[in-house]
Amino acid sequence: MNDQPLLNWADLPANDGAADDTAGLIGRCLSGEQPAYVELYDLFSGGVYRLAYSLLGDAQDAEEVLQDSFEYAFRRLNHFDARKSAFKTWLYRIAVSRCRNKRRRKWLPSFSLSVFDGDEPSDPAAPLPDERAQLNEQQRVVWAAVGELSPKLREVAILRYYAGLPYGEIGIVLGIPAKTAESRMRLAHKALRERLSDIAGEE
Amino acid sequence: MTDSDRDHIISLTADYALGLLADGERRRVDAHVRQCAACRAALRRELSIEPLARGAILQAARPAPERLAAVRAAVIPRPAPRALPPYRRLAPITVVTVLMGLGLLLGSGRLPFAPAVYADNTPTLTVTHTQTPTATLAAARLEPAQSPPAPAQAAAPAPQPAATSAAPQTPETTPITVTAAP
Repeated sequence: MNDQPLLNWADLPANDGAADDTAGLIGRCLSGEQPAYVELYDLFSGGVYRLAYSLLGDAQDAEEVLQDSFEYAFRRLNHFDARKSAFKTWLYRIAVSRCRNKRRRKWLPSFSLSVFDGDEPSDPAAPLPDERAQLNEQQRVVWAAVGELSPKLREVAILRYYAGLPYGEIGIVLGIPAKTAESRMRLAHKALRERLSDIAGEE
Repeated sequence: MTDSDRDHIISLTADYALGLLADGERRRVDAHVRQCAACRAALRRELSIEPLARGAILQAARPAPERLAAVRAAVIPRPAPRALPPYRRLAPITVVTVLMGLGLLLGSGRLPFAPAVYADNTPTLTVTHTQTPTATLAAARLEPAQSPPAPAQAAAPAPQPAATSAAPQTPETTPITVTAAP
């Protein structure tokens, strides 16, 4: 029998691997080097977009969050404190805050209109038809299961599963204690396991 | 191995997959699942959730490169106009201040290299002004008392007041009557 543990912890995404590069980039940005801003954007924009899209389920909203987040981050770059958190954590916190604002603003009118129209509110995490076409059957099921999580559980699940943040940093991003992040993650994981029981554990 | 052991290990598999177990418990689960097929299967199920979710998110939320580039063009700060260093910005004020200071020092004559006309023991502008016709008129009025007597008048008696009154009157001795306006 294989003596190796089933999960190799060294394979998990590390947050401090590129910390030195990021710190150097930020230093160059602050000294006014425009190419450094481009590098910093290229390094993190994909992650911010995916996070926003996963939370909002709308490509245009995700783009707006991406733009707002980077505009704010670049404007307040001198306020970033590397001793408090990683740059990615700081940036994700900005993005999550904007996602929450957008969800709050969108929920009110869509709720009232759906009452009058008799339409079911659309699943916020459901991909658009063209994007859905890119997913295979299994991915579609998993994506739908992620979308069925409540917003609080979805935030934690995406920051853990996709971004690979440790619970302490998830807490910083969401403004909650690390223990709360852990308990929410347990609930999210349990919900996903139940919804994905048909495909979970398949080789 | 008892059923309660198995149940206990299975209850830990979710936390194992989520990275929430302490090192000791994690080693205990590792050791147990090597011997127990049921717990190994349960742990595999738990561990499969994360890659499934990550794969779906990566695929479903994949950004279009052209859209990322469009947003990049909007968010990259424009280069600010190059600011002059402080010493360059203050240069005009410094030059004006130094010139004004030098002018004041030169005017007061306190500089060691000041022109000779302003050095000590030389007539100053003030002294020149004291030798104006006004001072001359005052000296002329005192002339009879201060100047030595003329040779022709040496033996003569002292001049009478009438002779003095015959002399032309200077403006200083002319009485002025000031009347108030109605």
